[in-house]
Amino acid sequence: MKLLSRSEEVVLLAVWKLREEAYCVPIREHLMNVTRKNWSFGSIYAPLDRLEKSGFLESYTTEPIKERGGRSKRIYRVTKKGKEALMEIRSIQDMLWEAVPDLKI
Amino acid sequence: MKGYRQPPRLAQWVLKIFYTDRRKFTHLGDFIQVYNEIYRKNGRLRAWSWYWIQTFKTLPWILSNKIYWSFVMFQNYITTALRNIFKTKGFSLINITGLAIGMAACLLIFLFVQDELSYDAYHEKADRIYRIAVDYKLRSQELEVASVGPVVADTMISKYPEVENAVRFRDLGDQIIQYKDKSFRESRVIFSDSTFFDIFSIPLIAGNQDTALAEPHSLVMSKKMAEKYFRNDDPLGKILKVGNQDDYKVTGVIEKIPDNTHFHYDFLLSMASLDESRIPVWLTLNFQTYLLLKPESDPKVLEAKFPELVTRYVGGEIEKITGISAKLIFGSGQFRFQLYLQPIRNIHLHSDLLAELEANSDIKYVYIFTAIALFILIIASINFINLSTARSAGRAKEVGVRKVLGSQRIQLIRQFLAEAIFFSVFSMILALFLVSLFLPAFNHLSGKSLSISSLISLLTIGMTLLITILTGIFSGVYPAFFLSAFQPVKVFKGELHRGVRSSSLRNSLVVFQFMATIILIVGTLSVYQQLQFIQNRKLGFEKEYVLILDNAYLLRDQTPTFKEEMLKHPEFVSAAITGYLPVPSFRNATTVFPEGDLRSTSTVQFWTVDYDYIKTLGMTIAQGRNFSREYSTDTSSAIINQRAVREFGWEDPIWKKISLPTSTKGDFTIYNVIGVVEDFHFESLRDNIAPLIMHLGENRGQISFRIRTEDIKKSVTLLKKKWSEFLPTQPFDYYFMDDRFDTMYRSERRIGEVLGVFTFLAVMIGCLGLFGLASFTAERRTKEIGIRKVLGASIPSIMKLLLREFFILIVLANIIAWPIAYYMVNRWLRGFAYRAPLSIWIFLAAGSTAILIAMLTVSYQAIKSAVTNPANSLRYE
Repeated sequence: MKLLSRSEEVVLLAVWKLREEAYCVPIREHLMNVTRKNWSFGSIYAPLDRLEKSGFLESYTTEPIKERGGRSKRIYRVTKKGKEALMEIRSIQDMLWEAVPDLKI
Repeated sequence: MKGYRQPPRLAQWVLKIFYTDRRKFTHLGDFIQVYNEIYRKNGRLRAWSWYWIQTFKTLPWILSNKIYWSFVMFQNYITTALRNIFKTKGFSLINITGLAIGMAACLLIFLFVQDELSYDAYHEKADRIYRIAVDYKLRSQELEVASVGPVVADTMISKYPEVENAVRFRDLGDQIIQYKDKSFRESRVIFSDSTFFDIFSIPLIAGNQDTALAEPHSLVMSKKMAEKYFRNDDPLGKILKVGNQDDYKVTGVIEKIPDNTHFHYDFLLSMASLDESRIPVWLTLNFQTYLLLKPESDPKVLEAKFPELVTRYVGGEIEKITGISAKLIFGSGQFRFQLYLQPIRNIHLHSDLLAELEANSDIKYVYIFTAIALFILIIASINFINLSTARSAGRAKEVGVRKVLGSQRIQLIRQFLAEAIFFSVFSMILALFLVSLFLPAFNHLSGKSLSISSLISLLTIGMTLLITILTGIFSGVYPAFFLSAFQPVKVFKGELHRGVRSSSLRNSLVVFQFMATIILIVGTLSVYQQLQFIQNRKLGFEKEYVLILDNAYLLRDQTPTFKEEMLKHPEFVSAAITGYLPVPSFRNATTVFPEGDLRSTSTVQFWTVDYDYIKTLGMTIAQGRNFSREYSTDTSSAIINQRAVREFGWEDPIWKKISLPTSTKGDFTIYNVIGVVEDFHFESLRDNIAPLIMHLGENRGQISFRIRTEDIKKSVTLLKKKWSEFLPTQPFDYYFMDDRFDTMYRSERRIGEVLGVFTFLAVMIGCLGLFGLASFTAERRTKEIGIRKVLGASIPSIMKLLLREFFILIVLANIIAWPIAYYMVNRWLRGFAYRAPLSIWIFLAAGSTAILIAMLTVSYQAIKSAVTNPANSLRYE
């Protein structure tokens, strides 16, 4: 299986963590908190879009919301294929870190 | 209160423009939500700037995402296109071959045109170099000459501050050049001023460019020639004998004069060696003179100053010779002498004057070739359009299914366009291969020396891409819109056939294709007819079976003896010793005064001939008699041509007198006219016959022999044997008059050949398309034909049915093509003083050729479907 890019992996994980609240605004906030870097919307849309087209994510829209100018939220959900991808990444990460000398100085 | 605030409209609009995805609606909601949050916390300004910053940060992501997905789509297009190409192999083969041939023709012609336009562009000072030419009129004769008097260059430099430098050329024709025991006749020899290297960007690879041509009797040669004479020795300082008398010292070597220059010489001899170059005359026009203007000086301003100079110097000279005031002569309207400047870059394509250094090309041919290239490419593209729409029925189902599954029309258009572009890319690859294969043949045909490496320039690569993409789009756009417009419902109901059948566009394109082809055929036939006409025209002399011995002057005093010796052989009928011949050779134009009347001067050709000249060349005496040894007075007699009689306005020319000025001081030699020779063509048939005077005298340039017709080879062998008896070390050169005559029409023949080849290509591509179209038509009508056969139709009647459709189209193409072709051919023929009448037969021949070829192409399919057993054709469901 093709490995995901770093940003795709991070976004996918964020969607998994946020569950029912996984639309762009919280995803972005979450990523900004964790990485302490500024994420633009575009830098989230692009991986979201790609993940969805490749079948790792699916999305649905909510009822229109007044605060959003009468626009719905697009909530993303990790698919079965997405979960498998996450698990695989996890196991690869674990294997990579295994028996690595301590990084603390 | 709306419950939310609207973010900046402009920024929102920008986002909407770029974000074409269907998720736009929800995603823009995210923007609004955060904007409102910031607005509540930090106020409007913060929110406003945040929104804008976010917009600009997001745009690159959106764009790159878009490119990513279109690339994915692109892969899909490739797959579909490849599948289609392989599925319909015949169709793809016809298309790709046609397009590839068209593109290859286009590229070759592009290279040709590019080369034509590059002439003399490489000189660093090219935009400041001008040649002086003269527009000259004397009575009824008007001439434009590319050369001026020897004194003009120096006068211009000293009189006009805007002239920085000047260089003069003097062409004295072929020279025998000798080094020790090696001796060759060289035709590319010219005398040049030492300023040559300051003006033209032709560097010396050995020698000093400031001193190279400064001394009398110094010489610069090309590297190739240096190798020919000295092998690997250092050429500098070597002594060459030129023209069997003067010694010249080699003072420099050039690589070679680049091909794209309007002159090509292998030997530059120093002008200082020529006494003639120091005579202060204006009226003998023998020196091609180039001026280098100072930067930012205006040639128009300079030209405006010339008349004053002409009045002073030319006028002065005329007064001196004739004793008539210059004012009277200039004022009479009978005389004009106007100098003008030709930019060096224009010479190759726009100048066709007398005394050109070489025969130039013509911008007309650049236009003709470009038009042909476009014609061929369009014909090939039309094949694509026609075949794509014709077999649309086959793809209608694909379009239907795609649409049902949610394809938008724009996506389908893109897909079909992409397919067309793939076709054109494949064709281009094949075309490049064809170009590299046929470049040598094309060089041979066009007389160029283009190389594959000239393909690898930025301009050519750009052009290649442009041709590819434009062809793709041109041939793909109509089929794309046509195919993508199918409605699934109708497709599946099978209602499509009506739409496919109404093929008026396809028919008009076929008409256009054949119209272009017919024009090309008519053009080719006309060029050949004109060439034929020239070659068969009564020239006034007999060019066949005249063997000409070159370099006869090397025999010196033995020339007459040589002639007599040769005439002892029965193979040699008669002989004349002179360099003045009615083929490109020696010329001498001079001013004479008929009947000694100083007021009526005329410029005429003045040829020195011998007693046997008229007999040997087979000219006809129209009046009076030929030169004869029986009259001792004939040394001061003259024979003139009929044109001269008209020029002088004489009723009875016999015993009229002609005065020839022999110096600038007013001395004359008087000639009595004893005969009139029928006009004969001594220039190319592009030009009218000029007045001509022949007198007896010695000119040992060449000996012309009229030989018997039986054994030409033997005559040449005899001549060679005798030559080596007389001059064992000198080069033996001979030619036949009719061969030399033909070289005058080399450019016309070349045009004819190029036109012929490209016409053939056009016909071939057109027929390829027609073949494809016919096979689809036949296929579509399989059932109809089956039913007709069952009901008793004969094979001929079915063939007639199938052929009729195309026959009408091609007849229509003929009707449209004829007037256009007539106009074009007439334009081209206008360049000839003597032209073949345009006969209707050419048009009929072109038309019937087109019809015949087209019918043959279609017949194959027609026969195939006409003889099919109806049992098979009707069973196909």
